Amino acid sequence: MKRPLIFLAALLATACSELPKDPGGTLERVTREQRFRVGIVSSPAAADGRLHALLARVAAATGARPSIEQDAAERLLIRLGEGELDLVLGEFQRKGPWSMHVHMLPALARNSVAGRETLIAAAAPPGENGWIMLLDREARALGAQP
Amino acid sequence: MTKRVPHEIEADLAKARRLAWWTLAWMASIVLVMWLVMGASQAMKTAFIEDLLSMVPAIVLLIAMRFERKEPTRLFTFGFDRMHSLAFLVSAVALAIMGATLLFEAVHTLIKAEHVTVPPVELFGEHIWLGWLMIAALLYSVVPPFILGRMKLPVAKRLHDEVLHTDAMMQKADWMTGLAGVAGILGIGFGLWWADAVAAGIISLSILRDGITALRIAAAELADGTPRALGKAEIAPDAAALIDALEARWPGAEVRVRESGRYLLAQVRGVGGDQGVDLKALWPGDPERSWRFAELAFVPPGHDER
Repeated sequence: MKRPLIFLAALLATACSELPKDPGGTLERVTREQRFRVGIVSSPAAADGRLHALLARVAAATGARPSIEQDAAERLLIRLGEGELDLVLGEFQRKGPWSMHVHMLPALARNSVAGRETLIAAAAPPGENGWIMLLDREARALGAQP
Repeated sequence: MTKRVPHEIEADLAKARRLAWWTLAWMASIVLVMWLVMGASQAMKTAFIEDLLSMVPAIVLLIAMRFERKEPTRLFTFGFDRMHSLAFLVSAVALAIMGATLLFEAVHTLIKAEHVTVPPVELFGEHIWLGWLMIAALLYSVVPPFILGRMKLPVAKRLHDEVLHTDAMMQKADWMTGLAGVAGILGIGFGLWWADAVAAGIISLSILRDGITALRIAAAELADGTPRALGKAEIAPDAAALIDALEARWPGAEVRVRESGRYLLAQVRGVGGDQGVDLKALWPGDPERSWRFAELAFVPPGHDER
């Protein structure tokens, strides 16, 4: 009686250690294809070293190379919400209309432009909890604060 | 001045009052824990609101019990026994709202295909998934309602207390919702975005059914319907037996029985007053429960048209 219980507990522990997984399979795809799709918001912050350090850490953690494109924040965030991108980096307003549709990771830095707080941060597709877990860990390793 | 309640139920009334206070204390601690871990999860926010709502029956029970002990006044000459019926209606509404809210949220999530984000957090230097904390909070939220609900049911039965019974149903709804929440968060963890909503949707149907039944009974009680069995829309067996006993004692008379709070009030219509009637002797059921039969009135012939 004890052995099946121990086996079940071990199986459960192994399964749980791999949680959370992504409903859209982002992390699995990134590691399998060794490529992740990144959008960088066109602005002076695009050259910020912390954003590129984050990209390098994510690439090292997944063994994948970033495929980068630049565009306006609105267009990139819409595509992120629709699953066409895996990550968007740049400078964002603290409370933008997109905050309901994407997941903002802890900010790498905060700026104040004309009295409005902006964040140097990364955004991830909503609900991709395994992928978000990895990105969050790498951002925090660079000193990001929620 | 306070009114004496039947001595047979004094101990159970005190127990019901203690259970209500315990419920409020435990539910307050659960609400606090849920608030701390709810994050941006809509499912957890719904669970938090439900936990707040689930305190309603215990609160109205305590208020009704306080009124029940008050003597009649010039403005309330029949006393305050019926405050219990009012409290029952409020509890039934709370239970039905809880079921309906849960069902609405579940259907809304499924239709919009919302992919819930449950992010990680840093706790004591450890980077952990918030889902584990949510599951711990939900498991904590399951235990007190499960125990308290089971303790309330026999007391509610002995007191024929619909509010306490609805409170027990609310506790059942709480622990079922908590377990559904655990299944939902685990489902999200396994990448099944719909698991949370499906689990909540199934549970919500059972809660909504209990709420609607309670609403029907509460409405019947307030509309002077024949007393209903505890938690059921059918006539209470002790009320049916009382009607039979009164009809046998006064053949040809019309007998009406209604409920005021936990007490049965009977009317025998078409006969003159009968002096020296012993209500306890008329009670057809268990003598221990004869306190239920609290009032007998006669409507003389010629005044029984309505």
